[in-house]
This record gives sequence, C-alpha cells and structure tokens, in this order.
Amino acid sequence: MKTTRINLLGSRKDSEKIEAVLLLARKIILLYAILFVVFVVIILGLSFQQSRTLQPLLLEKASHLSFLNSRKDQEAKLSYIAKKVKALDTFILDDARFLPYYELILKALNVSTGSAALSSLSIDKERAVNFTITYQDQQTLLNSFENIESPQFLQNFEQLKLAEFASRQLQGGTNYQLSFQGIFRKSSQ
Amino acid sequence: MKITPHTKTVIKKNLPYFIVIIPLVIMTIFIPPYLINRYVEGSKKIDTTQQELIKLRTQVDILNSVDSGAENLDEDVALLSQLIPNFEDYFSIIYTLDQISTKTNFLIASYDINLKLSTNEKLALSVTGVGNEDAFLNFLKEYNFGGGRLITAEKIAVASQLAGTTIDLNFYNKKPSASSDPSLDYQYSLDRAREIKNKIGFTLAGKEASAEALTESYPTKSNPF
Repeated sequence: MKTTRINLLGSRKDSEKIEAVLLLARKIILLYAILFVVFVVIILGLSFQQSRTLQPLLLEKASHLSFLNSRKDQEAKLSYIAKKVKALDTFILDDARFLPYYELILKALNVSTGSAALSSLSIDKERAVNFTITYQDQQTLLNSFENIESPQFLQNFEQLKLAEFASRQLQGGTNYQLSFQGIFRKSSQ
Repeated sequence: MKITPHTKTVIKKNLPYFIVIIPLVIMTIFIPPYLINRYVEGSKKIDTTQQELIKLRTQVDILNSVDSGAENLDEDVALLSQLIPNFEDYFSIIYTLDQISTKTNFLIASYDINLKLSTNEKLALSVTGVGNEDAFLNFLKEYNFGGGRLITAEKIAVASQLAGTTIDLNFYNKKPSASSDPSLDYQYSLDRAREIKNKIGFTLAGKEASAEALTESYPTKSNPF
C-alpha cells in the first residue's frame, strides 16, 4: 500500500510564506492599476483643458487673418510708403542743408560785425564751413574782432578758427579779408 | 504532478491579477508616452499661436490706427514714387531741373553727369546755374523737393558773384525690397509724406496713381519719318 506522508508543520510554514508573497503581489498590481487609471484621467483632463484654451485663440487668429487679408492692398501701400520714406530719410542725410546755416551766418554777421560783406561761403553735409568776410575799412575790421569772439556768435559753432588774414591795397583804399574754418553746431531747423 | 485543492484555490485567487498585469504593462509602454507627447505638442501649439496672435494684433492695431484714406495713400505712393523712382529716369531729371529753374528764376544752364561719384542708387550731377542773389536763395529753398525729385547737395560753395555758380547735386532711385521690415513706422511715414506734400503742393490732379506711377515704357518709332 502506498502511503502518503504529510508533514503538516513544514508545509504550513511554506504555504504561509507563499501566501504572503502573493498577497503583496496582488496589492502591488492593484496599486499599479489604480495609479495608471489616475494618471490617464489626469492627462486626459489636462488635454481637454488645453483644447478649451486653444479654441478661442485659433478663432481669434482666423479673424485677424481674414481682416488682414481684406486690407492686403492698404498694407502693401503702407509698406511701400514706409520703405520709400525710410530711404528718403537716409538719402537726405547727404544734404549740406546749406540754407539754414547760410541764414544763420548772415544774421550773426549782421549782429556781430555791422557792415561787412560775405565774400564766400561753403558748407558741406558734415557741417564743416569755410567763409570769408571782406571789410572796406580798418575800424569796421577792428570792431568785428570783438563781435566775432563774442559768445553770441561762437555759440553757433562747435569749433571755429581764423584761417587767413589778408589785406589788399586798392584804388579806393585798403581791403581786408578774414577767412574762417569751422564746424557748425547741429541746427534744429 | 498532482495539483492539490490548496494549489487550485491559490491559483483561482491570484490568476485574475496575473492576467491583468500583462495588458497593463503593454498599455503602460504605449499609452502614457502617447498622451504625454500629445499634451506637450498641445502646449507648444498654444505658445506658437499666442506668439502669432501678438504679431497679428499689432498689425491689426496699426492698420486700424493709421489715419489713411484710400485716396491719400494713392497720393502718397505717387509722390514718393516721383521723388525716389524705382529706377533712374533721365527724362525726369531734365524735367526736374527745368521745373526748379522756372520756379526759382535760377537758370540751370548746363549739367554734367559725374559717373565717378554715382552709384546704383545715386546719380551725381554738376549743374551750372545763373541768377541773382534772390534767385539763388530761392534755389536753395526749393532744390530738395521743389522740382518733383529728391535732390541733395553734399557741399555748396558760393561766392559774392553768383554768375555761373556750379553746384554738385545728387538724384536718387531705389526700389523697395519685397521683404517685411518690422522697424517700419507707418504713421510716421504718412506724416512725413504729408509734410513733403504740403511743402511742394503736390496733388494727383486726375492722374491714376499706382506703385509704378512713373512708367519706363513710352512709345517709340522705328521709322523717324
């Protein structure tokens, strides 16, 4: 007769160990499943929120694009005008802007020197100036030195120096010439 | 091996869990990365759309705020096309000098083209003019815009005798580029165009204005008789 040996004590201990391990495994799997579901729900919720945010933005974008499309012609003209004006403002910097400085020096000379004649004047786009004043008599010349050195006259220049002093004997008397070189201060005109 | 009743109970109790874990692991490999990627792409799209909207709103605001009637724009386009044509037009230079002479009484007797100082965008001329002091002052006031073209003079030298005064003048041409320029100020440009328009009394006077207001194509004859 075949006998089955049962060691109840030994197998009970093994069963308990296995049962404990399996219980832990079941708990881990359950927790894992719960976390997975929670994670998916959260992500889907955030995605739904995103689409709620994006929808009005896309509608606004479509509206603006439609408006700009309807005003394409106007915008093209504005762009053309603005580019031409930008070019104009660049090119105009090449101009010596002679007239305001010319009028400035005539006004200053009248104030400073009384009677004197401007024989020559050159101004360039960097505001560099060369001018020559002619005097018919010595007294006017001497008076003019004081006025030319006055702050009222000099305030118009960044720098100014006397380049040449000449006198010429003419039939009617002596002719005096003062030649200056300098740089004008930038005029606001 | 004989399966005991206890083993059967254990298997019955735990099998569902072990069946579920397999698809759960497979879903974990595919679903979360897909959902995360979708969320990240969505965030990027929101950011991009918001950036685009900032630019679009600015453009819309500019177009709404700019004080421009359709007629005024056409006039401004015509004016600026005349002042700085897209390509050099020698006939308009001759016309401009003639206009200035008429306007100022400073007669421009002759001119020479200075190729050394000329560039693609700038044509340098030496003009010789005759006139009294008043005429010359008028010329100085009018030469920039008064002839219908933008003219500059890099240096002007005058002597007390104004007969035969030679002045170096520059004429300009420039075709606007097709690329967009975010630094452009539309309102300032319109104000500037109107300032020049008022200065020279420019009107369209029935001319149809377009961006190509000065056409380079004119009828020619193959047979001069």
